Amino acid sequence: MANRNVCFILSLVIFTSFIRSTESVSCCLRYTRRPLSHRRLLGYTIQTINNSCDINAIVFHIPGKFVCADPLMKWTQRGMKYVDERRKMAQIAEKRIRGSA
Amino acid sequence: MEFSEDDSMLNQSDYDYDYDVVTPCSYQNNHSVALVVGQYVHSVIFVLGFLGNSLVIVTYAFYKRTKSMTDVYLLNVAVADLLFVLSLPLIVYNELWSWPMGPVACKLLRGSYSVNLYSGMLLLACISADRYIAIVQARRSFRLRSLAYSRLICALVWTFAFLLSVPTFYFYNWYEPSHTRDSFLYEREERNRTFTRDAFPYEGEERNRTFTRDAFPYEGEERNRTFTRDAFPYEGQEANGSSRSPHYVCEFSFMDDDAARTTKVAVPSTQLAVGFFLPLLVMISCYSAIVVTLLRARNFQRHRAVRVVLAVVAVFLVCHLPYNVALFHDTVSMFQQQTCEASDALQVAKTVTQTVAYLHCCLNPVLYAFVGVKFRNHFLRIVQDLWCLGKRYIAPRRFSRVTSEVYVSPRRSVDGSNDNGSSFTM
Repeated sequence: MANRNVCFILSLVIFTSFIRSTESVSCCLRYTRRPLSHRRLLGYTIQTINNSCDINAIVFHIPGKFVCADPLMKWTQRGMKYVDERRKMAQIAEKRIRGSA
Repeated sequence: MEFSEDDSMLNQSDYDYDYDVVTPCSYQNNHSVALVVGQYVHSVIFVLGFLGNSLVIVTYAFYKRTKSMTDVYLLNVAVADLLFVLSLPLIVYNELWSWPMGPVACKLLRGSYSVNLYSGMLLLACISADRYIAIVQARRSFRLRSLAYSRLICALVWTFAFLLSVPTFYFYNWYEPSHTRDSFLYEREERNRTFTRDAFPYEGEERNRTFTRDAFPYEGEERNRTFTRDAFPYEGQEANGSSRSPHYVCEFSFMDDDAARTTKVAVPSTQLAVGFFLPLLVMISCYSAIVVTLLRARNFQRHRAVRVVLAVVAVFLVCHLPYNVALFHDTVSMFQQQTCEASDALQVAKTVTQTVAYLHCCLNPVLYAFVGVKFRNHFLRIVQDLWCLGKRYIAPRRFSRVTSEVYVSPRRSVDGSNDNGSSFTM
């Protein structure tokens, strides 16, 4: 009985290996030193130490890439603000379009 | 600060500065190592650990009633190890399948892992102290090594192990990494709440709030897919978003920075201190006193006993030292900036050495229980009985008699605790 259970769990564990690869956490571990051009910024995400990553970072999305930035740097904060403003304007524009339609 | 006046940079060509851009680290090497180790090696550990420790428990349950203090400890170690190897395939399974078993399983598995780790290690320290009393302090041994004492000590060890694991129970959470909720500029979905309210999320109190809500570690499959996609990673995300299966992780998560900073250091530090250095210190001091006493004695089996002691300490060191060195290194460099290569290498080292540490629970039954002559004899009786059972298809009389005896008179076992040092098998 016990042996049958062992075989079952063992085969289960081995079986999983053929189905899917594992996932792992992806984190910013250090920061980009050079500032990014504002017009390349598509958006950003905030990485905090409150989850599994161990440093705080702002992850800028630029075409084809994610870039780690230091949240305390001025250019990072300006970049975020820029993204926020563009986003706000896009929303206002959208509302107007919707309102007129 | 050096780039505070960076406006001049903004109009530069896009390609000027891509060469030193830092992207998130996805731990590719650790990934592949964990994939192989997590499944094949852990399966072997599971089978060996399950067989060895359940044989110890079965032997105690049916044949060798726990007569001495050593027996109680050995039984408890076997129980801790068995629980540990039982949780191992479940953890592997959940990590491979993005935690389908849900939040309760997440907390229970991570927590029980911690409880069993601590209780196992502390019980090994208790065994060494017990042997020390039996051999070096032989005169006091009769008084100190009573069954009642040992049960009390085991209860204390389990309670202590549980208390040490409370932070693990509490702070490990099952959640969907919030990259599915993160904000993309051109997305049509309404997400204004994040960025209209938190225009300056990096300052003061506001920051904590934002960071708690929007912690995006970019985990898993989605992340890989997004990161490798070419120019516009966010387009069509919504279409995928509705159809893709939710991806969960079971990791630390905290409400604020301070809790995160404290706990992320405190948990591995406690593990290093109580889960490694304390038992190591107790074992080394007790066993060195034992070896000295044994070498002075005229017992003809002393060399064998010394060899057993050395094996016990050596296996402990070989199994746990590498992992604890890696853990120490990881803890010390935790909140610092690192290169992806170095961090990935450290994670690989942690994965591999952790597996070596897991091996210990397969070796404990051999090192502690089966090395004993008496225990081996009892075990051989089981094998014989099972053999007869298989041959006759009916329970032999002896088997049922012993079983009922165990259930009828558990009190009689309180008698002799005076087979001192029997655990070494002398």
